[in-house]
Amino acid sequence: MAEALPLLLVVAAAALFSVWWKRRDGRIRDVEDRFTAEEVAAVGAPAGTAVLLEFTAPNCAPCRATKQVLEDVSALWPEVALVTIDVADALSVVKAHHVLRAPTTFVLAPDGAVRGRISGVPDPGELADLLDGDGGPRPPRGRKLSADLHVETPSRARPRWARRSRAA
Amino acid sequence: MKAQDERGKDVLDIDVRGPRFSAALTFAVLSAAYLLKSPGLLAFQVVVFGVAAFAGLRWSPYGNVFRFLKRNLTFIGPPPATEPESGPRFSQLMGFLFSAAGLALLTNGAETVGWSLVLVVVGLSALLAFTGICVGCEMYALGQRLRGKAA
Repeated sequence: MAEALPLLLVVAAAALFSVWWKRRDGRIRDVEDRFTAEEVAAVGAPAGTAVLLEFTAPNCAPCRATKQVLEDVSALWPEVALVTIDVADALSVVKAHHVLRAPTTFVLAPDGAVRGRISGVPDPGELADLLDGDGGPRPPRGRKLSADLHVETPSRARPRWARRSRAA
Repeated sequence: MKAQDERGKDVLDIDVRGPRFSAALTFAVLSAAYLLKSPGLLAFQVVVFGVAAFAGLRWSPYGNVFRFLKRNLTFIGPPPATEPESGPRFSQLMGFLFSAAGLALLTNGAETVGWSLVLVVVGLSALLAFTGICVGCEMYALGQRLRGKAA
């Protein structure tokens, strides 16, 4: 029985890490961070606008899924710019903001302040809520668009985005 | 299925559930090998890793078990998404290196260190089976940072 103990410990550690990981994955975290004007320029984002910034890796299925979510959400907020950049193409920014994973998404206010940070594939409804929030960019024509999005994506299971096959 | 990666190279696209299924099998086989202290079972897993890493995931033994089950069990359904094989293939290579080193050590007397390496692979395969984590994506960001530091 003592023989099995190291194995049980390893499995328990993996299970604990998995729970932590799943709780964090795709959630918007409120972090105290700010991109300088140089950093905004370095990633190729336009100055003075709100930005959805995704750091990607090549051959990364979650990165493609993230890009799809960001495209769908940003289509509702024309004033929000969408930028995707390979981790390798902005290493100094990646290091300055401690990006350890791809995909990592930053929601930037026009002044470069980080309004949210997401590791993994974001939940479109949650993301829309953030864009819709106080002080952020407003949805066009004053409609509460995040509510519409929630109708389309009722759960956090993100089935609609994940089901889209990219094999063809 | 063929697809092109971002750099225009042809890569094999695989069902994202395949690597998770393989990881679950790997976890079961290596746990059994550890509990039974069976170098034979460990050697079997080393060969499985080696085939998948060096011949490609098209030939992966566990991947083909998954394909066989998909063909015969309709409830498994079509792939929810696909991904290029590069990332999962890289993790098969890592699994091969760790488990082969473990096998070499424990057959040469270093039993504790050898089985410890096997436990590392057990933990990582459990993690992959539990979460479906994209190993290639995780390694890429870290690898680029390390490379940037070295340069």
